[in-house]
Amino acid sequence: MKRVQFEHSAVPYLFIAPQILIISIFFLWPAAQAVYQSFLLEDAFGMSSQFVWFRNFEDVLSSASWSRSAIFTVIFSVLVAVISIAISLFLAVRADEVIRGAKSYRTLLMWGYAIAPPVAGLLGNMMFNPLMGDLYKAFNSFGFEFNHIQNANDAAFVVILIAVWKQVSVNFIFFLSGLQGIPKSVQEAATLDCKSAERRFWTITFPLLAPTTFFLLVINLTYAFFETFGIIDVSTKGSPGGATATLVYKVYVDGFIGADLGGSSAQSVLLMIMVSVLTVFQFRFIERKVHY
Amino acid sequence: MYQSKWRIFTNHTILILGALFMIMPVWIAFASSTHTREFIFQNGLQFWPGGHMIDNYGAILFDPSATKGRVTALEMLFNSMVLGLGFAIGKVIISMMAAYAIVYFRFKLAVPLFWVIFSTLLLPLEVRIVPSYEVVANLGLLNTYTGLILPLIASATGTFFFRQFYRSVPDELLEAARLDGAGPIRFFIDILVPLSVTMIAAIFIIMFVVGWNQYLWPLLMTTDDQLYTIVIGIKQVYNSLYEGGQIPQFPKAFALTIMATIPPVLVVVIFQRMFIKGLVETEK
Amino acid sequence: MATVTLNQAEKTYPNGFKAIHGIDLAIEDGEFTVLVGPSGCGKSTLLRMIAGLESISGGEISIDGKVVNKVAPADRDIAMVFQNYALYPHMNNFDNMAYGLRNRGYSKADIESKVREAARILQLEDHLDRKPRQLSGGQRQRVAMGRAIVRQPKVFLFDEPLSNLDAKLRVDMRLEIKNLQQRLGITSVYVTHDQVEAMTLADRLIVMNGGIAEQIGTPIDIYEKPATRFVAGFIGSPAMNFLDGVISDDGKHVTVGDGGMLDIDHNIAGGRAVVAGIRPEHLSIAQTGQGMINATVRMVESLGAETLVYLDFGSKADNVTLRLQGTHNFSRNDALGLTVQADKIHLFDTESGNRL
Repeated sequence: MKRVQFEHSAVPYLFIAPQILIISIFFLWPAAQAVYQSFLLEDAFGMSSQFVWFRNFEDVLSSASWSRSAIFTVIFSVLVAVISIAISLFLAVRADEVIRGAKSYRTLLMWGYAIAPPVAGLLGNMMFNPLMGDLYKAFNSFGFEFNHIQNANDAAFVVILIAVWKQVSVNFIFFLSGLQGIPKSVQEAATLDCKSAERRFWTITFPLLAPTTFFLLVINLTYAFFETFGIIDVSTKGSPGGATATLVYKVYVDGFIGADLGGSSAQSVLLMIMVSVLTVFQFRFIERKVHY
Repeated sequence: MYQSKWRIFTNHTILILGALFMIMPVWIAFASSTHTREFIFQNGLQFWPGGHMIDNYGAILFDPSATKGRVTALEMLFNSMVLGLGFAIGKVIISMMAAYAIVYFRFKLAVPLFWVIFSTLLLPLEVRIVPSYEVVANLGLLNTYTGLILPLIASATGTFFFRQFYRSVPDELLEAARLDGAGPIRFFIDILVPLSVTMIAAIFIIMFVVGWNQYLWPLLMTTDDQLYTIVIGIKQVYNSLYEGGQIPQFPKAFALTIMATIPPVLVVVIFQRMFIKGLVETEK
Repeated sequence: MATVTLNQAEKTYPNGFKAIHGIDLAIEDGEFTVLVGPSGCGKSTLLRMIAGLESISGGEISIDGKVVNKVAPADRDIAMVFQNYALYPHMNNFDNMAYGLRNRGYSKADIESKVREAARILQLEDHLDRKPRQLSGGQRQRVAMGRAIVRQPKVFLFDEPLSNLDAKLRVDMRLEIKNLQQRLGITSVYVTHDQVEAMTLADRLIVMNGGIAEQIGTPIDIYEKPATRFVAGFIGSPAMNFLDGVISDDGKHVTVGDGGMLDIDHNIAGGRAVVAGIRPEHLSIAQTGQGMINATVRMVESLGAETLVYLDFGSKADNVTLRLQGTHNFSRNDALGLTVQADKIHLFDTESGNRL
């Protein structure tokens, strides 16, 4: 909080009004609707709805498809986060060390942020296309029987690869920035104390990057949870049989396509609880406490 | 600093491989987009460009039937531009103002309103998609630019960013301004905004890219293809690729993909420094 | 035996800038050598070349008789103390000092005893559990030195270690470093831009300028017989006075300024243009009959034990500084006649700056 503030009656309200207005109409109201609808059950014709307390939640939590989706989401998110963090850290360390061409490498590696998730999904779809995809051909020629249309694990592999590919740029940017924040003299002192570059990395660089790493872990988990919708919708569409549907994707499929308002609203509420936990974790342990 | 020759060599090798890993898919899409569809159908994806770049790109830019719809890529690019710019401008203005109110004023509803804004981080759009759609439909805003842009602005990210930035501005600035007789609005316009210019630029770039790349929301609420953004256009084209029993129009689909990608990538690369600065500032 | 030898050492950066021009240097075992010079003279670069943190473009560097041009820094058996300490922020002080030993495979017991011994010498025993950020600047510097000591290297390298400390601390630490080095007897190379540090710490001094070594010698030698005008002006505070002049025809005087004449004792041809250098403490008030220059007082600084008088001479302003013991009562615009002993005048060539 600023030490010095204006005491004024109308101005702050004026300034904050537009955001509050938009939030009220386009967030609070739909959010309240979502919560409300999670307690309703529509009849077969969508004509009337009945208040059923937590039945939707019970149905969702006990449904096999939701459990499978939840498990997939968790595994998917953890794998995407860990793999893309590992790759980008690996690249960032090298990028921090090179002198010749440093700027060019940075440019070549950071632009992935600008790719839309559906575009990434498309490119992945293209590379794995059974007719002509290079990666499809490559994997099959190495003796794997690769079929991501029918095999759930292969499909999962594809979406994970695409999600990792897109996310490497963002992580790379943050890691590079974090590395550049380590004083050069500390790195030089380490050079005198330790001959192996690898050992230096694990004992000096990596510990000093811990805050950045934790931060990125949360960001990546959030990304994998929500922003991969576009990737999935354009590549596997959740198939085979819902095996690659993340929880967010399932909300969309059930709610918009399946018109199961009650069920998908209940799923939304459950997701909201999960995000809250993630967000609270992020603010509490990583950034300083959020306080007014 | 000291580096052994071997280390330098492996550094460059790894970085080149990493760059290739990122670029390969996009390059292949581009190269494949410059051939005829018969060629692609017969020979698969291509590494080397063909001679049909002008044909393909020209067709989708100017000929609506090329994208199996009633809208050209040019029109879709325009829509994406409107979305990107509108979203970025809206976000910047609204967040700046709201953050200003929260940081610089002591007023009664400050604390509850702050938490209301914070709460938008807990329920991303993807999760409240159905009721959001209903609200927009009820307001008659389906298939309008307004309906496309406004709901996306309702989140706290920009506000938190500016809040953080304002908190780092020295108090002395405000005290000096007060002594100079500046009221809150004057201070905002004459002093704070000019001070924030680099931050505004950084956020603007990030939000432009975010807006341009929006997928789920435009997908749902624009049924009129005059309003398709280029990202949505891609999806529609791909959906109809195998229709009609003809040879799939892969090259044109790839061309569309490339065109959807170039503007945001260019923005991010040209304004690299500002973009990275804006992105990294959000961490602190 | 840990000697350090530089043989025509050169450094050119990729952009073409030549930072070090062929320096020859032979440092004896146990010697405390100081590299001193203004910013940008290349002293830090030279130190870092010895460390291996900068590559060498030409010539050779040898430690203990072995050429180390291509040897990794960690293998050169050297330790370095950095200007901003460069302690590992995430480790406590014990681990900071132990790190180098751990990487070299010393036993736990060995490490324990070495670190504790260094901590004892540097009075850090109570601080071993703490992290660097919990320590003051002076304490951090001692931890940095501890990290260097435990390695018992062949050579110590110091890169302006006292520059970040406040004035009083600097004086104390200076003495500590000197004592430590004499006690341990380890060959040391020390970089500073502060000529007081240079004069007090060095067994031998190297004055650098623009990538070359202008003079190498003991501090007193350099002070009393500076080899170039640059060295003469750099070492000694307040700085030496420089007056343009001409040798008289008979070779027994130098005429400076508007006709002031000073006796000289050098063997130089008459009529030659020279630069005459006189240290402020060697000027004295002239008696009649002595060769003298006439100057006007501009300002007086009374420091108690001594007085500094700033005078205008010739057509220039504020170009002569006089240093007298005790307190004197001069006022602005007083006219003073100043003289100097013939053997205390340094004469330099006007173009090359070399001593004549």
